[in-house]
Amino acid sequence: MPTLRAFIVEDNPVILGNLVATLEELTNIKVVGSVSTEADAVRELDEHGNDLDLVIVDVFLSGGTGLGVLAAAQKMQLDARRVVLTNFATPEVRRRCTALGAAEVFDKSNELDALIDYCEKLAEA
Amino acid sequence: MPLPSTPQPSAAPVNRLRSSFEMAARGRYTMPIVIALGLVGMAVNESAYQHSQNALSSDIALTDARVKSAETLQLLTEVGLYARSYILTAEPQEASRYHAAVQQMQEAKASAFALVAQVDTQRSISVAPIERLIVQHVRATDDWIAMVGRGERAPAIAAAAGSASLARRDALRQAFAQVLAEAAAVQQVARDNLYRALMLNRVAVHLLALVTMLGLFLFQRQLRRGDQQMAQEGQRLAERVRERTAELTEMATHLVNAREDERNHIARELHDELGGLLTSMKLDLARLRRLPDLPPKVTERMLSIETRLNEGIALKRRIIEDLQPSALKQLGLVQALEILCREMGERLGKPVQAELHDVTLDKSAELTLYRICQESLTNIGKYARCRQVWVRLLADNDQVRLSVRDDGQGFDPQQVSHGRHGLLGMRVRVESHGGHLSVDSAPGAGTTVTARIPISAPGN
Repeated sequence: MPTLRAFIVEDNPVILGNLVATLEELTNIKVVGSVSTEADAVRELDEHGNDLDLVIVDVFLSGGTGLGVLAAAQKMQLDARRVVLTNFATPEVRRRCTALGAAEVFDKSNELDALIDYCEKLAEA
Repeated sequence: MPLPSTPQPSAAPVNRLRSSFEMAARGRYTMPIVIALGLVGMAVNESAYQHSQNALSSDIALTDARVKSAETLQLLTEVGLYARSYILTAEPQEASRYHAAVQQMQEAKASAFALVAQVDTQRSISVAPIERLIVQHVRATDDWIAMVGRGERAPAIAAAAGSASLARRDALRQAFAQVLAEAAAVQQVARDNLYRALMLNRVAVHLLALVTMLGLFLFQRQLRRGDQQMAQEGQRLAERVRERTAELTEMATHLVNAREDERNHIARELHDELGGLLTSMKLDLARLRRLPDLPPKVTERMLSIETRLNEGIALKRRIIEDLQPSALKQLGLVQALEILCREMGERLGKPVQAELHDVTLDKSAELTLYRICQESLTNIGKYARCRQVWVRLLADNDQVRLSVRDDGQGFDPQQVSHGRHGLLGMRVRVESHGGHLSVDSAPGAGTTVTARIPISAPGN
């Protein structure tokens, strides 16, 4: 069972560190990189997008938004799954993210377990 | 040496004169002086009147005195005639005529003297010579009458034919003429005095008229200038009020902006820092929960921690949402207001009926309307004691109208200070977008807060 390669776009270092540790401990996922701005994310995806299996995107970034990242990924027609992890998982945000090609949208506060479960299933599949 | 207030040197003397007039007009001695002038004028006029009256009656008296003097002289002649007639006829009838004539002559003389005394109030004219001559004359004719009575007609005729009585008559005529001339001289003095008094009166009346005209002119000019100054003062005051209002609005706008910035800052801090910590704790819990063989007690405690953690997250979200409506940023005004109404309805425990139509406004005007709705709903929770709340948002011609209405106890807008209910802050916010805020309320009639913002507002 190959290890999934994940890329995280998150501007909060505390969450980022914890998320990386959690995913790598609980699931068969290897976080291969992370950035905190839209521009960096788009550049990284452009260069290494095809080597990735999963991209986890936060909506609010220190520069730009996750929506921009999603739009860029959609435009690149990446194979990697994109999921959104946000504090603002309102119906509207979910709708827009889904429209931009996000597979799932998880609430940062209440749906972390769901995210982990989703990653587990993805890695096992 | 131009005064500081006079820009043109050539105008300085005129202005100085004018200002000294005004200074005199404002002086504390002005009124006494005016009264004194008026009294002097009246005195001059009265004196002229008295002079005229005196001169006029003296004139009449003098004329009468002339008539009476002539009459006296004529009666004296008659006295002589009757005396001679008696001497010739010895008729007792002629004697009584003689006596009557003497009596009349004495009366005429007395009234002539009285008239002269009327002219000559100073008693400077002596009538003694006339008196003496008349006495002599009458005594002489009386002697003739007495002689005839004694039967001595010849000596009587001789006496009557003598020139002595004629001489006395001439002397009397001269004496009368003398007295009348003196009286005329006195009267001339009185006339001269009258002319002077009339001249003085004329001058005084002209002066008074001139002074009155000048005074009225100055008074009227002063009034006009006062009006002008008041108008200018009013204009200056209005200008100042406008400036101050502008300053206050600017300051209030600044405060509103500063408050909004501060809220944004706190919200970001809460979101980034506290949010990160809470999410990390949740991740830790997720990891812990997946550890194998956890004792049930630990699972129980972990569940409790997670519950508290979720409550903390919810609290943080609510605070952030209050501070900085992310929904507004993300979803637009209508949905943000929808969420706000739903949440406030839950918080107030009352139904909030929202009727919201799509409108087009810039971000900062949207935030203002959102804040007004928020503030109004908070006020309703604090004061209104209502059963229902209605929120309406709609585009009305060229403006957007937001109204928040309740059916609560209301209040008297006149008696609520501007500070209360945050009305002033709301008003300033609306006005900074070129809009208008109105609050309609009356005790027992509920409250409606309406904000109108022009769609083409020059948003800031």
